[in-house]
Amino acid sequence: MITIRGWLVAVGVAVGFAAATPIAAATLDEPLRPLPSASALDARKVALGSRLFVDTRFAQDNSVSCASCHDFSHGGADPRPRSVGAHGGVSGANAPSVFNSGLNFRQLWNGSAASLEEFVQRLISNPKVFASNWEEVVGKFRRDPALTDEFSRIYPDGVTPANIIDATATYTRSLITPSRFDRYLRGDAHAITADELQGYVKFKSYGCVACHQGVNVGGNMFQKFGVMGDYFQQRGNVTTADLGRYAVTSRESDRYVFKVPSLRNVELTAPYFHDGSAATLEAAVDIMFRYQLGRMAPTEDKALIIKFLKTLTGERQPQLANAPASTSRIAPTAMSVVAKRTAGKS
Amino acid sequence: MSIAALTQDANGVLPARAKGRARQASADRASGKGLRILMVIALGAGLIGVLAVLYLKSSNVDTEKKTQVEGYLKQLKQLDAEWNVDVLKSRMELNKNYDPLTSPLPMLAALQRRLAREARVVRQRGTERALNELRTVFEEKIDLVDQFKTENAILKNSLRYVPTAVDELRVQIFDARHATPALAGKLALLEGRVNQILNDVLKYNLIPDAGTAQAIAAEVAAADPADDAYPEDIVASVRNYLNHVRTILAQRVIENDVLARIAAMPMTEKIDQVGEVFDRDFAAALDASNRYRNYLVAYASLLLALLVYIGSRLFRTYRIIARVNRELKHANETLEQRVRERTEELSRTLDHLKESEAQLVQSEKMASLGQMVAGVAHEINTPLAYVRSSLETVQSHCAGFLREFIEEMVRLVMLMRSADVSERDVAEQFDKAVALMDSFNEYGVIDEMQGLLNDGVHGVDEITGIVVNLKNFSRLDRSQVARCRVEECIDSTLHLAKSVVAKTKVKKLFASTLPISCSPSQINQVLLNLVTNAVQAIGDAENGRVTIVSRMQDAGHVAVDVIDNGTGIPADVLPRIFDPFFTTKAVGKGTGLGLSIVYKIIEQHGGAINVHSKEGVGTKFTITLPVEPAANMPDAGPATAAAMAIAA
Repeated sequence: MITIRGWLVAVGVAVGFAAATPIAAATLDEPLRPLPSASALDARKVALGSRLFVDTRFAQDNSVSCASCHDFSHGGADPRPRSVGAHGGVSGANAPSVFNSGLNFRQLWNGSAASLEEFVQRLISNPKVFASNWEEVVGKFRRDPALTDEFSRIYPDGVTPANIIDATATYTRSLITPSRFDRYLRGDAHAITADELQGYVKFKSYGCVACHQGVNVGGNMFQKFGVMGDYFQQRGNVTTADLGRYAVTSRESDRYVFKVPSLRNVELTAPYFHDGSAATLEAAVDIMFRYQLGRMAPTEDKALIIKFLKTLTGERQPQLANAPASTSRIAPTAMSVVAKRTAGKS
Repeated sequence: MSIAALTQDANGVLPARAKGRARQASADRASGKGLRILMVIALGAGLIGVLAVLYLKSSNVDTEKKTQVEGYLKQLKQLDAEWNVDVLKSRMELNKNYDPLTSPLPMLAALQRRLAREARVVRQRGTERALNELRTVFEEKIDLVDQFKTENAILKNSLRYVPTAVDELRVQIFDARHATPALAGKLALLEGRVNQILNDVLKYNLIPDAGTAQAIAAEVAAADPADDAYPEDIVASVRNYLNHVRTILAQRVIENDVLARIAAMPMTEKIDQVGEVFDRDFAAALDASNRYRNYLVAYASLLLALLVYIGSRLFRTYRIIARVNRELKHANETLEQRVRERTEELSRTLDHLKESEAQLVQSEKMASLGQMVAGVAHEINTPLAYVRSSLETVQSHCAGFLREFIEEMVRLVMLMRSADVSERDVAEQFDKAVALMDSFNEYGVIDEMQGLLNDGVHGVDEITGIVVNLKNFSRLDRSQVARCRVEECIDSTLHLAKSVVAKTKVKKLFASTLPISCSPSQINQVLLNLVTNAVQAIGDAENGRVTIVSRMQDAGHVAVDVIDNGTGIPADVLPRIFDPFFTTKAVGKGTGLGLSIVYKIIEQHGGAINVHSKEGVGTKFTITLPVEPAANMPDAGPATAAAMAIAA
């Protein structure tokens, strides 16, 4: 028994390693790596999470859902420079894409959430996001018999904060967007055009790949915004959100240090950077060249790089689940809450 | 219920108290039984609980856990080693991306979580502390690896760029030399410096020593072109190039520092420490477990012994029960017989008792009768004496003077009647008779006899009066229940008890009471008893006085107080004076039934009797009788029978 279990654990670890470094024979040995082709996620949890993703009951005032800021028609990112949460609360940063975010080594621009679970946990009470609390959210969900049923079918203990987080995080992990470039990496030489390949070569030779590498083309390290020049001095009006990782570590060297964002679907996720300051991909590439690479490049080279970047767009963008039928039933509740408050005041 | 009440009303309360005691006893038995069952359950639960605790303590150290923990620690160590290798690979650019540096993170976290879970088996602070330390150093290392990636990316970028920058610069310089040949020498020098710096900086990257760094820094300073000396684009390019060279110099130091710190992270030590502490804790837990197993064995043996003991006890008890059962069965069989015997015995005893009681009642009757007879005899004796003496005197007169006078008178008449009688003889006889008659007158015999006879008549009258009172007392000549006034009864009683009361002053204070319906003979008996008691209480004391008061208690009740200033009744005796057979008199002097009969009579009349007494001051008996008779009156109880017997 002992040995069998130990052995199983060892095998599990081995399999884990194997999964973490799936270098098939055909796969090109490149700084960028293809997305894992299959995921072993619980389909029921994914289905439940997909419904929770569009559920506005997370928000204290039932005004916004996850999908409000992670716009699926916009590469899973927020088209607004600053995301807007419950009660109209404006976040300090632009919401990055939710797609492939499960592959990021940490969550949030400053990497303060070590996992998707921790991230979801914190969003609920964040006054600029959902401005709620678990008691309230769980309470709302439990008043929904259909949803309670679905939870109970998957989780023995039904609607609990941990299960809500689990379902939501599981769904988020399912949101991966294989692209043409993934096919290229997997050995399909015709998956991208010659120009695009040229762009990829430039991407590497100009040094973009120093940070934007790995399976998520970024998302696996921190980097200072403005390595070769002071971006923030140039931009002006420095906010708390601009402090980046400094807010987490209080280490001077972490000032203006952010998680390197993934470049997958970058074609769709404008505006760019944590401050949403770059409205176009061209502008973003310019800023990167200037402040990160510390060099100039001909416009043609940048255009080629942008062509390459567009091969990272998922060939099939994930679709939002239909809003739960019960969402419409929330309205009267919210109304009654408002009415109660008004009554209390008068 | 107070003690005072208990002593005051012994008759009513005693059975209640006894009942209460019985109830209490059965309740005690019931609750005692419940308590015993509870105690047995608690004891059983306690024994089993101790067994369970010992079992858990002895079995919860799972050696499997130790293997698991060791396995996890080994994995952690291996993962860390691979991580270190990957850091170096990244440094050497053998890794083309940083994924290998981030991919161990979930596994690291998972392994630590599992470790923490499995290590809980030892429940020791040491392991927990060691695990916390391990987590802290891992967090620190993760942070360092993050920093490494950041710094390495910058370094890598600049390193990758500098050869390109030099190539581009060469092209620019080539163009510039052709464009402005005057600058050719200067430009050649610049190119040489740029090339030298590139060489040095690439060398420095491979062998980063401080001396080289200083030299390069000097070269960089020297190479910085003056704005006016070169074409503008060349100045910008050179400055950009030098900027990257400076970045390489700085980043190489920083990266080296970060790498050194990563290398210095005591991961293996901390992992080993966890292993050691865990081993120690585990050994301790195992020791404890073994100790508890020994305890368990000892305890189990103890329990077994206890079971054996209980078993033997049960067996013995069973035997005893069987024997008792047999005996019980036997007893049951003979019980009926014994019950019959016992019943017979009891009924015999009861008969005997009744007989005794009857005898006692009889003797009380006789005593009362004796008292009364004595009184009546005395009463009758006195008049009888003088009736007798009067009659005797008259008799002696009749035998003496009257006989002689009548004989002389007869002789005279005979003489006068005969023919041959002499005058002289007649005259002589006549003189004799006259002389006798004169002596009659002279001695006043006639008057004397008259008086004697009157006395006799008076005496007889007196006796007649006594007989009438005796009749009144017993009322044998009337129906049992009659309407009479208590004062009549009192008078009648006092008359009869004259001899008893003789030496004592009796004061009567009569009110005009309503006649009551009663059995007069019984009421007389009551009064006689009370008066007798009063007189006896006074005894030979001087100034002894009995006061008898009659009054209307209220519209429906007549009360009679019999008050004496005698010795009084002691407080401890007072509650028992109405008990049957209770007496303070010497054996043979009283039956002890007197007052109990009194009590019964009054009770039967629907009345009440109260007594107030103070030792040395006196006693007051008060009887209260209803004017209209009680429903249950008359009752032919023993008291009534006794009264009738007395009357008879």
